[in-house]
Amino acid sequence: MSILDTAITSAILYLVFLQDYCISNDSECLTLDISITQKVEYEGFHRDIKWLVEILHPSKESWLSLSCNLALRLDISSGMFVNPDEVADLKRMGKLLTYVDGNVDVEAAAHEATEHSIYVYLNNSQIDKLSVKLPVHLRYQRSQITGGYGKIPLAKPSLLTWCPANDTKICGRGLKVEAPCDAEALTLCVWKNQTYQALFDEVELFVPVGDLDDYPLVSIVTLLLGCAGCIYILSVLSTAPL
Amino acid sequence: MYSVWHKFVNINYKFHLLLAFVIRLVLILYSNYHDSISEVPYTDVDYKVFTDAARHILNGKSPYNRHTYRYSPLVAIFVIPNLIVHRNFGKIIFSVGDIIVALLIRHRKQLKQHNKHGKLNIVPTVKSIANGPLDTMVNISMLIWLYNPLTITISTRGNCDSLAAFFVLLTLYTLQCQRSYFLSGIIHGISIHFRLYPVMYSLAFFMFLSKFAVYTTEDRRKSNNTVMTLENTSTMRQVRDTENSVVLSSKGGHKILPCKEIKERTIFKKEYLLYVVPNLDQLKLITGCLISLFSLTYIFYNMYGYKFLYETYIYHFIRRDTRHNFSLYFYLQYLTMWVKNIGIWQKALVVLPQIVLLLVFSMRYGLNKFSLNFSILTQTIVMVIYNSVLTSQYFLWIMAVLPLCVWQINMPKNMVFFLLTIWFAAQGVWLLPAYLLEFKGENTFMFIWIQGVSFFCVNVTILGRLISCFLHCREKIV
Repeated sequence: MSILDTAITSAILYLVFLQDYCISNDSECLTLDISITQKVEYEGFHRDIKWLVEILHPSKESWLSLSCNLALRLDISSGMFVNPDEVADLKRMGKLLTYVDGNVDVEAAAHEATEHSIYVYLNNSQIDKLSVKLPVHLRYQRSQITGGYGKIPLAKPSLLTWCPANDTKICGRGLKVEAPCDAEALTLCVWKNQTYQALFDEVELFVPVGDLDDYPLVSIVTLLLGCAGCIYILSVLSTAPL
Repeated sequence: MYSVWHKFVNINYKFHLLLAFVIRLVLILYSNYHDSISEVPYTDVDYKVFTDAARHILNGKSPYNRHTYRYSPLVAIFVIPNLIVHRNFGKIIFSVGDIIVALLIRHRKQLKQHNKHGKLNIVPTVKSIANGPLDTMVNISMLIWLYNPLTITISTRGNCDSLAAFFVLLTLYTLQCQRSYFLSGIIHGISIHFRLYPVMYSLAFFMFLSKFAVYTTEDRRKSNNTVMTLENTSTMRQVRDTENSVVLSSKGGHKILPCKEIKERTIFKKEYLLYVVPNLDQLKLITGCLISLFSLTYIFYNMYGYKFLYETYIYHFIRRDTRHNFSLYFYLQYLTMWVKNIGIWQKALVVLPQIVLLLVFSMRYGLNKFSLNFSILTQTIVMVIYNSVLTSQYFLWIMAVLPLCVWQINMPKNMVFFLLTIWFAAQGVWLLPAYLLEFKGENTFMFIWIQGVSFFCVNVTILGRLISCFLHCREKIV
């Protein structure tokens, strides 16, 4: 190994170090310190995922001067869905700028549904402390023996950044992600996946599942009752005046 | 209190039409305001679907490009002005539809009044009644439709079911009042194309035009040459006075009995096969229906291809919705949805009772000239309560035909009150486990099923009561 090689290696290591720890006095690279708190509200088939996104560093003013964009990307597992019409309404009201990626069948059951993703574009002007509320819905699951509850894992959202001005770079070795530039989704941009402090644990959502042990009772009573109703009506008919 | 109500009912019907229309317009305006401030929109999701589909049509594309558009392309064509004139245009069309339905309900009644010496005379003591009470009945049944919260909200939220009701009533109107059977066939075809469910009425319409169709059970018996026997000879004279009527005294005593010597009561006779041989009128009806149904299907199939066939017709046959609803069959369906080895017998037992009832009602009431409306009512109720998916929206189908026969159903007031109470109560108690499931995430499927069972029982009871009170004597024969 030559000296040159060693030097290059150490330089790379230094750069990696630099990027990893994001030394803020480097003019080429901007440290971003963001924390996200997540809370899932309500308990039934309709939940609200609430995120509180806080930019701890840099300050609001300097962030605004950079004209960078922030977005959250959530991969929605097949056990739940975002209703495209509902988020479109929220978009229309200006409450939540989102883009749903993938086909959403709002009627399908969990094991027949496909996954999709949603991009939530965060409002730039109030970026220092921003709360986002995303309505999601759980899907019915296939009935099972002993019934009980099905589990749906809720993934952590990814935080994406995109700075249109080329001279601004954000520190970190995040993955590059191609995603729509904004909620209109006319063009694709290369976003960077950013690390953040997650002030929450990963959660699992519970959804009630039909109990196959009920099947004998339910089938016998339901079908008999259907027939009994029919027979009753026929008997009334036979004694009715007309 | 009574007189205020009486006055209100007897105001000129045009005023009611106007007032009902104004109420709808106000609600449409309110819906715009509500939607602009609230996250839970007043406007139905489907209304947006219609508008989007209309936009596709305007752009020369298929309305079925809009996902979850599962209606006839006619709906999208009707609401094209939503994009050109104003976005509320469709809702106004639906509301105008409501008003025309009210007029149709009224006209059906007026016909009865005009024909009171004619064949359609079935109100036993109509000669002795001044026009007043009949007018009141006419008005009340119109008001039941006009001021029904369900119909008001459904049309102002922008749901097209009121147009479906309009086509069904128009078919009934042309069939019974205009007597232009080819035209009724055409309209019936359109209404099947529009919303598949009226196809179930076809047999009743067919039977209505049969030469075997009679005016009363008495006529039927006469035509069968059976001897009428009366329990009390003194009533014989009375009965002759009010011919063509079905009269039963409400408090025992004088009663036209069904033939005393009923030799055999069979369900099926060979003569019944003659009923299906069509006569000229029936042929007109069938041709009209087939022409309009197939030409509409052909035109739209050429325009939009298989997707149209699937979304408009096939989907409604194979629809399986597992999400909780009022239906008796909901839990059974959910449990067995993805279980493979479920026997065909289960499917048969689900479908068979309602097929039997629909057939029986078509024959029994269809073969009687003035119980056609009641036949439609009972068939609609059977369809709704035996449906595998049952939501409040389906009650509109019943609401549309109920006013047509309100005057033929002589139910004591306290029974009406009792039935309404248990009907609402059964829905109310269903709501509790449904709420716990949907919003609290508790596993209450079993309880929802139990409530579904009780709601079904209530519905069957109500249907039974309607049948036994149908054309029951209004007043005791003096």
